[in-house]
Amino acid sequence: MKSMPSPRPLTGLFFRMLLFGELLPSLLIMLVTVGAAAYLGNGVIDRQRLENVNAISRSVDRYLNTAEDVLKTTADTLTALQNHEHLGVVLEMARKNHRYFDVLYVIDAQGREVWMTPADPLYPPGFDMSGQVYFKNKVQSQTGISEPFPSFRTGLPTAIMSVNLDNGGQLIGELSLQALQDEVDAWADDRHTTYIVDQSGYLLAHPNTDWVDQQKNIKTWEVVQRGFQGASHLFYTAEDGQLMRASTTLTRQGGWLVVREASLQAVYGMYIPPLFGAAALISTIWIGLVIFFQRRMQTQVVQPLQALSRATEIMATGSGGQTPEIAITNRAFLEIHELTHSFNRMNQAILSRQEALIDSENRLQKIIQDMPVILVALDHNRHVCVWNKEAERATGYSREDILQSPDPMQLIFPHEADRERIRQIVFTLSGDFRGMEWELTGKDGENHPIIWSSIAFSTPIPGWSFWMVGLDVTLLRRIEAASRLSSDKIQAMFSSAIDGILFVDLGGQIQDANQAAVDMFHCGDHQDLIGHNMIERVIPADRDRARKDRAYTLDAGRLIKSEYRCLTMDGGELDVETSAALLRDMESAPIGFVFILRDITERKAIEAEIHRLNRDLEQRVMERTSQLDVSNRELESFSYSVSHDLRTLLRSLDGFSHILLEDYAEKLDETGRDYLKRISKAAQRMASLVDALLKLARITRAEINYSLVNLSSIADHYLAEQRAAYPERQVEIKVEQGMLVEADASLMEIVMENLLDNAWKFTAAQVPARIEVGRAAAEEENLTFFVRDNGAGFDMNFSSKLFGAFQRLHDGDEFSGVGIGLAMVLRIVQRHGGKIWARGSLNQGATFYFSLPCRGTRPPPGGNEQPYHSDCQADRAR
Amino acid sequence: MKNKCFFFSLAVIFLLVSCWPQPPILIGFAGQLSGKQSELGTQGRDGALLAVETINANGGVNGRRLQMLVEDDLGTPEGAAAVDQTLIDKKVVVIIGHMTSNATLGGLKVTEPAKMIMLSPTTSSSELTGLDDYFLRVQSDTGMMGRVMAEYAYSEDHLRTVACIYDIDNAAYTTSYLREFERVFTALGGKMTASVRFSAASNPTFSTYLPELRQDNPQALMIMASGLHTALIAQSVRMDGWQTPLIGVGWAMGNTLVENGGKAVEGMKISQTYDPQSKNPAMIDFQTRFKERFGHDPIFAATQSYETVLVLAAALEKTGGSSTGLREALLQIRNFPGLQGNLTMDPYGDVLRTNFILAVQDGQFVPIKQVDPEQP
Repeated sequence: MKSMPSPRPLTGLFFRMLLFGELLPSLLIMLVTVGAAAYLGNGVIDRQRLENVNAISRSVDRYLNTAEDVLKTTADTLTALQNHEHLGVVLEMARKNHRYFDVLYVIDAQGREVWMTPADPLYPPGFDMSGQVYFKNKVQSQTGISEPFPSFRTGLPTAIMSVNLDNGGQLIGELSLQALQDEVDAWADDRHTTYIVDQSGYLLAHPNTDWVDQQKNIKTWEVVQRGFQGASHLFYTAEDGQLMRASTTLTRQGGWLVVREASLQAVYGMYIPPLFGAAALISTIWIGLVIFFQRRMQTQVVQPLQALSRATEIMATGSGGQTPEIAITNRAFLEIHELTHSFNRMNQAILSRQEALIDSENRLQKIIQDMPVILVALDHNRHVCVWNKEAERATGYSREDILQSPDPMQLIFPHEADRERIRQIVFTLSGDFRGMEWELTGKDGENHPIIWSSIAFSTPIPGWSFWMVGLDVTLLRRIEAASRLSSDKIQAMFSSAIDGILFVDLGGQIQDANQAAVDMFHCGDHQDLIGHNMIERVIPADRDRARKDRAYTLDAGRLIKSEYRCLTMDGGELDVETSAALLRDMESAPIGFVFILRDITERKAIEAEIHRLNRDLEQRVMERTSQLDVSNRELESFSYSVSHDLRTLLRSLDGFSHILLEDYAEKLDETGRDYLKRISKAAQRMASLVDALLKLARITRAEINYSLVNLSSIADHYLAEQRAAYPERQVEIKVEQGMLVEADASLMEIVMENLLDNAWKFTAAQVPARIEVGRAAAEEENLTFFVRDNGAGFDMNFSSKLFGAFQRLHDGDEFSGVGIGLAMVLRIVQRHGGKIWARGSLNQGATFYFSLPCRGTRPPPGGNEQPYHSDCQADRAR
Repeated sequence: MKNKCFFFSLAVIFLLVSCWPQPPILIGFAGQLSGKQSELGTQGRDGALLAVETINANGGVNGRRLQMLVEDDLGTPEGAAAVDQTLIDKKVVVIIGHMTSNATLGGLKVTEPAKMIMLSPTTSSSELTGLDDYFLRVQSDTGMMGRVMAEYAYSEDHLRTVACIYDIDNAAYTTSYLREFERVFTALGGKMTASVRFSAASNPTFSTYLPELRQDNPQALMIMASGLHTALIAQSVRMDGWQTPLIGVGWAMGNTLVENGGKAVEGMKISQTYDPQSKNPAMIDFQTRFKERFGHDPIFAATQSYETVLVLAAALEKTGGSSTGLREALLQIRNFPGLQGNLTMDPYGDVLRTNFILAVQDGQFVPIKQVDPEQP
C-alpha cells in the first residue's frame, strides 16, 4: 500500500510561500537589476577599455612601424653606402636617433658579422652568426620578429627584427623591449594591467618586467587563447584565482596580442559597498516582513490550530484531564474563529456526555465495588480484573493483592485439587451456574464458604471473559453450627435436668416432658404425660390460681415463680415450684409454654417446721424485751434517784459545812475551819461530778435528731458571750463562716462550747490570745473542723488521755473544770459516727480536730429525715 | 521525508566537500631565468612546467593539483640561497633546482639546515655525489661524464694532449669535471697541456687566453663553460685560425651553443646524459608537446626537469603530497621510466643513467657513442 506522504507544518508553508512566493522573486529582481546595472555599466567601462587597448595597439604598431622604417631606411642607406668605413657611423646614428633598438649589426651573406653597434669585444667583426635563428629564417625565407629572448649582447630582453640587404647580408636590430614597455606604461593606471604577448605566448611587455626577462610563456592563459581567437571582451579567472575582465586586440605588426585587464574587484569595487548596502537593506526589510507575517500567522492561524490540535489530542487520548476551552483570540480570520467556536461547542457537548457517562460509570462502579456480594471478573487473559470490596472483606485480600499476584488462584485456593476443580467449573463450564458452594481460603488462613453464581455465559459483559458473584455464607454457617450446638445443649439439658420440664401448648396440653417430670408425676413413660392437660395435674384448689398464672404468663411473657400442689398419675400429691416462660414462633406469636417444675414437697415440710420454730422464738424475744425494758427503767429510775439522793446529801453536807463555818467559826480553830472548807469544797465538787455524770449519761442515751447546724454561728454566738463576760481579755478570734453540717443541733452546741471553752480557758495567760475556728481539708467522706488556740497546749505523749472522763492534763487550780468536757465531746462525735483528735505541744497551743461523716452517704437512721447534701459536696469541690 | 531531506543534505555536503578545491601541492623551482646564460634555467622551468601541466591535466597527485612557484636564482650561489629561503618560507614541499652546480651549492646552505629536499634536474658536480643529504638529482655526476669523455677522447679520438679552459664561476661543476677527466685521461696515458680558467661574469676577451692554450700545440681544446661562452670561445679559437678539435661539456649543450657558435662549434664532442634524437616514443611525444607549448625545441635541461617532476610526482603519490617521507620515497625510485630510459636512484639520491657522447653536426647534437651506467 502506498504510504501517505507525511504532512508538513503549516508554518513551513507560510515560510515557503513568503520565501519562494515573494522573497525569491524579489531577490531575483534585485540580482537582475544589479546584473543589468553591471552589464550596462560594464558596457561603458568595456568601451573605454577597448578604446585604450586599441590606442595601445596603435602605439605598438607605431613602435614597430617606426622600428621597421628605421631598419629599412638604414638598410637603404647602407646599400647606397659605398664606403664600408662609414658603416659604423650610419648604424650608430640609426641606433641613437631611434631608441627602439638596443643593438644593431650587419652580417654578410655567410652569416659573419660585419659590424655591430655598440661594439662588443665578445662579438668582433667576423663573428659567425650563421647559427642564429634569424639567419636560418632568412635561409628558410621566413621574416618577421623573433621570440623575445635575453640578448647575448646586453642580457636584456629583446626580440630580433631584421631586413635583408641587397648584398645578401642582413641588418639585424635587437628591439628594445624596454622602449615598448615605456609605450605601454604610458597608458598605465592604478586599476588596469596592460601587457603584450607574442603568438608563442611569450610576454613582450608586462608591468612585471621580470616575467619578460624570464621569458615567461603565458600561452596557456585563457585570456591569451581567447584573445588570439579574436575576443574583444572577456571574463576569465587568473592564475591567482581572481576574476578578471579583459579587453584584447591584435597588433597589425607582428600579430601581437595587447591585453588590458582589471580584476572585477578593481573595476566594480567602488560599486560593491552601495550595492551591498542596498541589498542588505532590502533583505533586512524583507526578513523583517517575513518575520512579521510569520509571527502573525503563528499567532493567528498556527497557534489556534495547534491549540485545537492539542485539545483534540487531549480529547482523543483522555490524558491531561478535561479538554480546555480554546480561547478565541483571533477575530481576524473568520474560518479559524468559526472552527474554534465549533470545537468549543463540540467539546462542551462531549464534556456533558462524558460527565453523564462518568456518573453512570461511577454509579456502576460503586455498585460493583460496594455491593454486599462478591464480584469477581476475569479479563480476556483470564487475569482477575474486578475484585470488589465484599471480596476484599470476605477474603482479606485487597484488590492490589489479587491484581498484583502472579497467580491469585494460588492465594485463595492453596490446594491444587481445589484449584483444578474451580478451573474445571469456571473455564470448562459452558453455561451459567447458580448456588455452587466452594470455599476460599482467606488471608487469615481460614476457609470461607461462598455460594457462587454466574450468568457470564448467558450475559457476557464486554471486556470480561468471565464473571461471577458470590455470597459469603460464613456467618450463616456459623449460626447454623451454633444453632445446632445450642439445640443439642438444650436437648441435653432437657433430658438431664433434675427439674421437670414440660412443654405445653396454649390450650394447656402437655406436648413434651422430660424424665424428671415423668418421675415427678410417677409415670411409666413420658408418653403418659403427653396429651394431658396441665391444669388437670393441679389440685382443684389451686386450679384458679394456675389459670391466672397462665394468663399472666401469656400476658407478661414469663412467670417467675409460683407454687402449686399437684396430683401424680398414681393419685398422690406433691408440691411443685414452677416457673414458666412463653414460647413464641418466628413471628413472635405465642405458641405455648415451657414449665420448669421443682418438687418442693420436702422443702415445704421443712418450711412449715421453721415457721413454727420462728413463732416460738419471737414469742420468747418479746417476753425478754419487755423484761429488759422494765429492768432499764428500773435502772434509770435507780440511778436518777441515787443521783438525786446523792445530790441532796451533798447539798446537806455542803450546807451544814457553810453553817458551821458561818455560825461556829470562832469555836473552831484554823485547822478545823480549814477542814470544814475542804469538806465543803469536796462536796461541791462531788455534786458537780454527779451532775456531769448525769449529763454524760443523758448524752449517751439521748436520741440524735439530725438537722442542719451552722457551727460558725454557734462559735460566734458563744465567743461573743465570752467576750462580754471577760471584757478584759484580748482575744483575736477568727471564725470561718458557713460551716454547715448535718447533726444534732443541741449536741453540736455542746461540742463547740466545750472546745471553745477549753480554748478560752487555756489561753487566759496569752496576750493576745488567738482562737481560730475553721474547716480542715475534707477527708474522703467526712467534714473536718478544727478549733485552734495559742494557749497552754499539751504534751502529745499524753494525748491519749485527753478524752478520758475526769482526766485532766492541767492543774485544776490553774484551769477550772471537772475534766468531763472532752469526754462528752468524744462521746457526741462518736455517736455521730465521727472522729476527734488533737495536735499540740506544751505552751505552743492546741488544735482540736473533729470530723463528722457526710450525711448524704449514709442512710438516715430514722428514715423520716431528708438527706441533706450540704458541705460534703461543697467541700469536695474545693 | 525527513530521511530524504537528511540524505539530500548529506549528498550536497559531500558534493561540496568533494568539489571544494583541495589545497594544491606547492613545489618550488629555482634556476637562472634572466640574463645571457638563462637558457638552462628557462628550459628547465618550462620542462618542469610542462610536466606540472601534464600531471594536473591528468588529475594531479592523489587528486591534488601541483602548483609550481618559480624563482630566478640569477645563476649565483647568493641568489640561489635567497630564493631557496623564499621558497621554504612559501612552504613548498620540495625545490626543483638549481640548474648549475655552483648555484646548487649556494642553495644547499639554506635547504640542508631546513631539511628541504632539493631535487636537481641538471646539477652534476661530483662534489655532491655519495652524500647522505637532502639533495637528490636525476643527472649523472661530472665524475661519470668526465670519465666517459676522457675514455672516449683517448680511445676513440686517439687524443694524447688536450688543453683545457674552464669557467670558475661554476667551479663546482667545471673543476670536478676537469679533475675526473684529467685523472682518467692521464691515467690512460694522455696529457693535459694547459688548464686555463676564466670568469664568465667578468666578460673576458677570450683571444687573450689563446696563446697559453695553444702552447704545446695540444691535439684538442676542451672548453668547460656554458653554451654561450663555449660558443664565444669556439668562435674566438676559430677566428684565431686554430682548427683544433673541440670538446665541450654537458653544461653547454643547448640552442645557445649552436646559435652563437655557428660553424665554430661544428664537430664539437660533448658528453651528456641526453640524446635529443632519441627514438623513445615518450621522448618524441615530449619533444612534440614542448615545441607546441613553447615554440622551440627542448634541450636536456627541459627534458630532465620534466623527468624530475615525474619522479617527484611518483614519490608524492606515496607520501600523499606531503614532504614527510618524501626523501625516502624518492630514494626508493627504481627503474623509473624516464624519457631517455629507466632511472634509478642510488642510496645517496644520485641517479644512474646512460651517458652519451654527442657531436655537433649541422647545428644538431648527434649521439655518436652511448655508455650505459654500471649497475651498482
